[in-house]
Amino acid sequence: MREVVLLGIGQHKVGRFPDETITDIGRTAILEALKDAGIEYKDIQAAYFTNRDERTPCLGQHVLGTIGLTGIPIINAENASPSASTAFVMAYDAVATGQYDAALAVGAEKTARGLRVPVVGVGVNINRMMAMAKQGFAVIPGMFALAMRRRMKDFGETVEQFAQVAVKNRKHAHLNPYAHYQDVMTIEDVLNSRLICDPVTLFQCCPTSEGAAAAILCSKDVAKRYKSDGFTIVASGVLNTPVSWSPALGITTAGLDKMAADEAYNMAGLGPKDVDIIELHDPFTASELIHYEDLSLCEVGEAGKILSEGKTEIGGEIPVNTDGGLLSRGHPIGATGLYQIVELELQLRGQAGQRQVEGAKVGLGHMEGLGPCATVIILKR
Amino acid sequence: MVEQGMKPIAEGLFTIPSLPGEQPRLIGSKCRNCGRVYFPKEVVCNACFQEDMEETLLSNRGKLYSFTIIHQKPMAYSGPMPYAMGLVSLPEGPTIMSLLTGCDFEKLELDMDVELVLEKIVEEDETVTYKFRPVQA
Amino acid sequence: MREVVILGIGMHKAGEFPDKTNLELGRAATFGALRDAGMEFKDLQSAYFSKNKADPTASIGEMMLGRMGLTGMPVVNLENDSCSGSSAFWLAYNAVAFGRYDISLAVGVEKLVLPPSMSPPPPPATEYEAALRAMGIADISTRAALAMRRRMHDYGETVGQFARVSVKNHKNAAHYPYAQRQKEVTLDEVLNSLPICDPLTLLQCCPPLSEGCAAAVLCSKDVAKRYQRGKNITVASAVLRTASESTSGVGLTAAGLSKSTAKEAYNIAGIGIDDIDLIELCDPFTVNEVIHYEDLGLCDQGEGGRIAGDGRTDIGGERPVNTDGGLLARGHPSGCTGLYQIAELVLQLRGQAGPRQVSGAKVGLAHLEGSGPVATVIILKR
Ligand SMILES: [Zn+2]
Repeated sequence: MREVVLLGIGQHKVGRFPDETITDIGRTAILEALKDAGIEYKDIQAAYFTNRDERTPCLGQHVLGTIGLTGIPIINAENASPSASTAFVMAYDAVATGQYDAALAVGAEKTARGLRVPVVGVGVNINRMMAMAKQGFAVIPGMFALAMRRRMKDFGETVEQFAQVAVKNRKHAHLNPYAHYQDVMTIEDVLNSRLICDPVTLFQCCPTSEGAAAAILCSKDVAKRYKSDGFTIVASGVLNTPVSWSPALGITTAGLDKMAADEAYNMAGLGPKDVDIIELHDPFTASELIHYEDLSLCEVGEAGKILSEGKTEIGGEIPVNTDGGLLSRGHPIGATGLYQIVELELQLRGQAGQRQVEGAKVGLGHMEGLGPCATVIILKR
Repeated sequence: MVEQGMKPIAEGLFTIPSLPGEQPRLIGSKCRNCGRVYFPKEVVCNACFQEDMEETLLSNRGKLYSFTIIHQKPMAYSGPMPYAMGLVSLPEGPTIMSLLTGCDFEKLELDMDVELVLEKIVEEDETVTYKFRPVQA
Repeated sequence: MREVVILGIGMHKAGEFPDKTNLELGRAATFGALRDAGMEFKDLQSAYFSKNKADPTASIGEMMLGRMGLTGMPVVNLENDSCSGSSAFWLAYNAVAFGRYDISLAVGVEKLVLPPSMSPPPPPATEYEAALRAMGIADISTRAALAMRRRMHDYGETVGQFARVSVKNHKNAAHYPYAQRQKEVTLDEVLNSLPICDPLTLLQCCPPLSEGCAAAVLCSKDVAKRYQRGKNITVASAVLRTASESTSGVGLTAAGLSKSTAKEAYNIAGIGIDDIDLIELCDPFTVNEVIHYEDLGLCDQGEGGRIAGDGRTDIGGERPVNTDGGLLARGHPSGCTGLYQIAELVLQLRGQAGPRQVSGAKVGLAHLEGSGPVATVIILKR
């Protein structure tokens, strides 16, 4: 496996854009990434495109076709929330193994609004699935409400601590002009927002957003043709599924994520202490705390404590979700994993403006989703 | 015939004449760099990758590249059955998928001259679209 | 790059299965392929799972494979219209060829999860496409009809020649237990079937609804030695391409994309059409088979119709095409069609195709083309 360089990044603002099609949104991110990389579209040898909610076949060809027709292989992939990070891992593998010298990973989404119902369409017949849905079981925030209750009993975490996650991430998003929601809010605002499923309130859930983000990866030799200053190296790119099933999976601690993180640390030859900045999967406030533990930022049960101590804020020991995370930057499902890459790269280059984490050299991006599946990517400057 | 107040099936596909005697035109885009013409409009030229396109009005005459008579009603369509559609090659380059009108199905021929008209899809609805009809000899 | 071997294939019958779940289909094909390979589920190192984009299930591959075994392996879900299954194969092939994994699974499923009333067609991608739909000119069958008429004009082909493709492919499928349509049809039946859009009739179209599942296990040559029984089927080339020029209009009668994809596949394999013993190609409508004869080099431009009529692509002819019935008769579960093609080629190259056997088959080619556009050509040899 050879060294892989992150040559360019691009993003469209996150939000809702009734006047733009998914093609418009995707093209913006790709053109920005090409410009940032200083590479021409004709030099891209393969593209990995991800999207979650659209049902149009070959969407990648439609989006890329409005930029150019160069005959390159285009794969339209999906992996629930880790869709875009899966595209990144695919592009990384293709360059690392020598299949291609320059590859594009891009995710774009026009998400439907409202509460998401997980479509668990495997091994069930239609009648049973409809019966489940009619009973109102199949609502994602419900799973996290269960997790919160359990953690409150087991670890003594409080609703204020959960709310604090949303407050912190919004504070970060306030400094990110690309974020979906940028107005600062207080713990009271979070707790008093509409109750979704007790104790989850509206502002403890990520919005359903639209957006697109892109990354261009290449071999080190190729990178030197386009840039002379420093490069960000992809130190690891891991995509995993679980090795064992437990009914509590994803409830209080997700073993899968820990396994993916450990593998990524191993691959990079680094430990959690070496990481300066983290982007992690926070669709709900409880998820952020759970993942502190999965990524070994603290022991199991200590997550609420390190949050309260301010360790994971900008200015703290290990800032988490400096762009606002899913909670405030937003969750355009098919693109989120690549927004994480964009933020990490801006931070590692020292281009993150007001939300810059001083001296950040190593960044980690983590996503988890239905399947289940998880990705952990480590970037190193 | 097009009257005041009719609404186009989609924005930016064709011009609606405002003066008597004026012809409708399809709206395409032309690459300032390599000259390639697209319909409908594109933002980036997919031949030379330049983001340098200008709007251009296309000829309202072309040649019928191929045609078919559709016998099974597709979803989203509410006009009369059966009906004719074809591909029309324009002198600027693009080949355009279009409904055919003002024709006897039996008399359609490949490569015949056809011209652009605006017409309703359904009589009761005010939505108009572009169609091509054989040029009267 | 290392040599890649197809160690096992598995499939479920193609057709309509309202009483079965997608998991039942998935298990039949996946376990079938593993059994055929002499392998266990835990031996797999990565999986590429193809489906139809219209299937709303998130991470369907993880959910389905997770019910067969939890091994921690990476699973990627993907879609590429008609080329979905062959794209999964392409990813699995590259993962092994470039040394990322030693053993990979390509599996594709097509199963209606929601009743048709609850799964409306995908919304139009652009305002222009919405307009085309309202005008009633967006259906893919119309493109086939337009191509037929243009070819009849340019090359003097006849509707009978097109219909002959359907007769041949139905005849082949009649001897294939996994095919959706296992009944022979006559030329008259094809020509007099329901008119869709003139001159296209119903029996010149692949079945409107096909469900199914097919899978292939790929591994490096070294690993194959540990498992193999009998002859290795190796991948001589696997190419996936998208359009390199705008195909509107001219793309109608000769698909330049398929031609360039085939050319690259021949180059990589270091062979030409003369070395190919049998072909599986993309025939959603009869005219596509005729067009692709030319793209793949079976004949010159404009000769496709003549070949369709003269028996040289029949089983027993010079170079049989779509010996399992093709999309027209085996069926077109688009999430996995490419893997059904692989399965048929492997059976033929192993000499296990029963009454459909092409005697002495050593090299086979599989071709697909989808909207997007995208095309794949895969060459296998024994
Ligand atoms: Zn140009």
